[in-house]
Amino acid sequence: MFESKKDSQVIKLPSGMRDILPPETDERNKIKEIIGREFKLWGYGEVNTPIFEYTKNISVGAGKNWKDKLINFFDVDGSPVSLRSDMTIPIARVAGMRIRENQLPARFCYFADSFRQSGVQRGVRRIYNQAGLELIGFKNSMIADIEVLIILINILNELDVRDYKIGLGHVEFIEGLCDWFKFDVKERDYIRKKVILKDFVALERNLEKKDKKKAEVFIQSLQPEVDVSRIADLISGIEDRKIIESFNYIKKVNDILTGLDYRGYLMTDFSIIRDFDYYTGLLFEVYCPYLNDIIGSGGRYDKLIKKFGKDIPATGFALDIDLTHKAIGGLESKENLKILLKLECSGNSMGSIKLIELARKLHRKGVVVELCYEDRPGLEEFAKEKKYSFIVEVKSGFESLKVIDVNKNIKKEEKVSDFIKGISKG
Amino acid sequence: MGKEIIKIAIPKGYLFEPCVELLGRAGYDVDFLLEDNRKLSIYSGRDLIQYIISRPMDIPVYVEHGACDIGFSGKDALMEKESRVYELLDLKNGRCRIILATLKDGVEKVKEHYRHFGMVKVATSYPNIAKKYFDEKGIQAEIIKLHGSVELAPVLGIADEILDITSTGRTLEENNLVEMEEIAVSTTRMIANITSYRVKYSLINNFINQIKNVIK
Repeated sequence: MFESKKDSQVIKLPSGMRDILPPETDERNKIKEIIGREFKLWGYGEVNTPIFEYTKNISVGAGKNWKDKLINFFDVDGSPVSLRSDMTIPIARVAGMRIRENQLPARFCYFADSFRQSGVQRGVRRIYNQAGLELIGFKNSMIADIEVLIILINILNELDVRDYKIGLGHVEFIEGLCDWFKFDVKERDYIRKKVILKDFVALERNLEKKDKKKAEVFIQSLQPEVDVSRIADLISGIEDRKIIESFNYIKKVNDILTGLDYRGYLMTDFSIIRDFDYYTGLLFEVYCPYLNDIIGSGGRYDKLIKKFGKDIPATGFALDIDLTHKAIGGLESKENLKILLKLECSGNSMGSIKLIELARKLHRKGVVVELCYEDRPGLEEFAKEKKYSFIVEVKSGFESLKVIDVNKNIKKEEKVSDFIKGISKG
Repeated sequence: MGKEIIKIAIPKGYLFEPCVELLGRAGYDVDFLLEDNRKLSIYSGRDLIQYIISRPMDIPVYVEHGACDIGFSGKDALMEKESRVYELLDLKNGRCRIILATLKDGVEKVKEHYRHFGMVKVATSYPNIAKKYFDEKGIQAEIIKLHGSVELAPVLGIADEILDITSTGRTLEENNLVEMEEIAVSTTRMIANITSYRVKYSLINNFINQIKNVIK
């Protein structure tokens, strides 16, 4: 009564949320299909988990300020609940709750939306559609990490993502560098924060106060590097167990993958720190030119499932579907024949019912048929926009029809029976 | 794909000259940057660099969104925008200070006002820096965003104090203002886009080294 009509017509979505319409959904589905095929070939089974869970579970193993990044609300009984912010934590919970020793190793994959809080002003999305996998329960961590990386590279190549790079890092490397500098807890926090921001100016200033020469090594060893031996030279004088072991781990992963012909996609980057703090070993990120965000990431998280009751090592990755889609642009693929089917003179429902029958015949031959029961202006533009190749007008009596090739602008008349036969010939 | 180029954002205004001068000393061809025209996008075929000339505050945004691979940006703009970019190098020029200032006879008044109302009114072109600063101190502040000539605000009585940058202090002086506190020191930084930094690392690294050589 008091509402002005104009205002009520302005419909908005909460910030960072959006709808996805059929053309985009189609392309995304094709991407997911390609990803799903690779998952399946390696024996990964899809899992689904609830979209929200108890906050105390969702926030397990996440970084200190991560709780502020969750979308939280209350359940009917007043318990705090949160939308999942990734799928790794719910899957770790599933593994802790449901997996028996004799079911290991478990190979899980998922296609799911996750939700993260962000400042309203920044216009950052709050919904993340991801495809990912988790490989749970192999004691030999390196070979499991290698499997996961190979699957990731195969997928990116299958999708024809151009010029991407995968950066390999290790959680322990920076810890080792901090040990080497004998930093206390507070200093470590500061260093980690600056490394996350890649604020090399502040890092250098801070480190140089302690030791100028060591500062140089610290900063240089955190730069992206295609040639692993250069990092090896750089750190050759340092006798810190964490640095040596983590470097050797990454070097070996790199060597094995290079040996398997996966050279060219990899580089080391020991500056990688993820905002989830459950990672314990290898970390990796996928970068693509012209995209200002990481399209995929993953790593090893050996201590996370323990928080849900079982001490099982695990590794995995997630690919962001929105960004992957942006990275490859459009997707051309072989499609079924698509036609718009209508009556020459529409308007009576008997005719429309016969039209449905004809459509069913065509469907059996795999033709995509969209029916027009009513006349509409601009049908050809409509057909072009929806990528239909033909408009088919059925004459009353259902004996003959007119085929209009939308792209070539050719019209020809045909008998209905001939038209159906023609399709089976291709 | 042809030869890869890098896109570099150069700030207009007082940072323009020191940045171009630095590029020149590092061996890059900058003659056409100095030409007196209004071109905002200039390509150097010799160095394979596309220069984009833009407002200082927009540079972190351009770089964050990948419109430019690298940018020269004042630390003040970086602090204000909090863009997700990598801060690679301190060019050590364009030095200025981010300060709080008020009218010459106003320091006591501001303090009194704060005691009385528990609130200060601050005019600034840096609302984000201002908000963070006052939040950290636990002081309630009403922040008024102005697009330049912030020094007028206390004179006109729309704010008790201002948060602004100053290099020589002359503008403050001329507008009868005094500095109350220094919040940070800003110099020009070289920043990079997160993915460019990885995907074009060798080009960017090369560029950093050239610049580094002439800073030290």
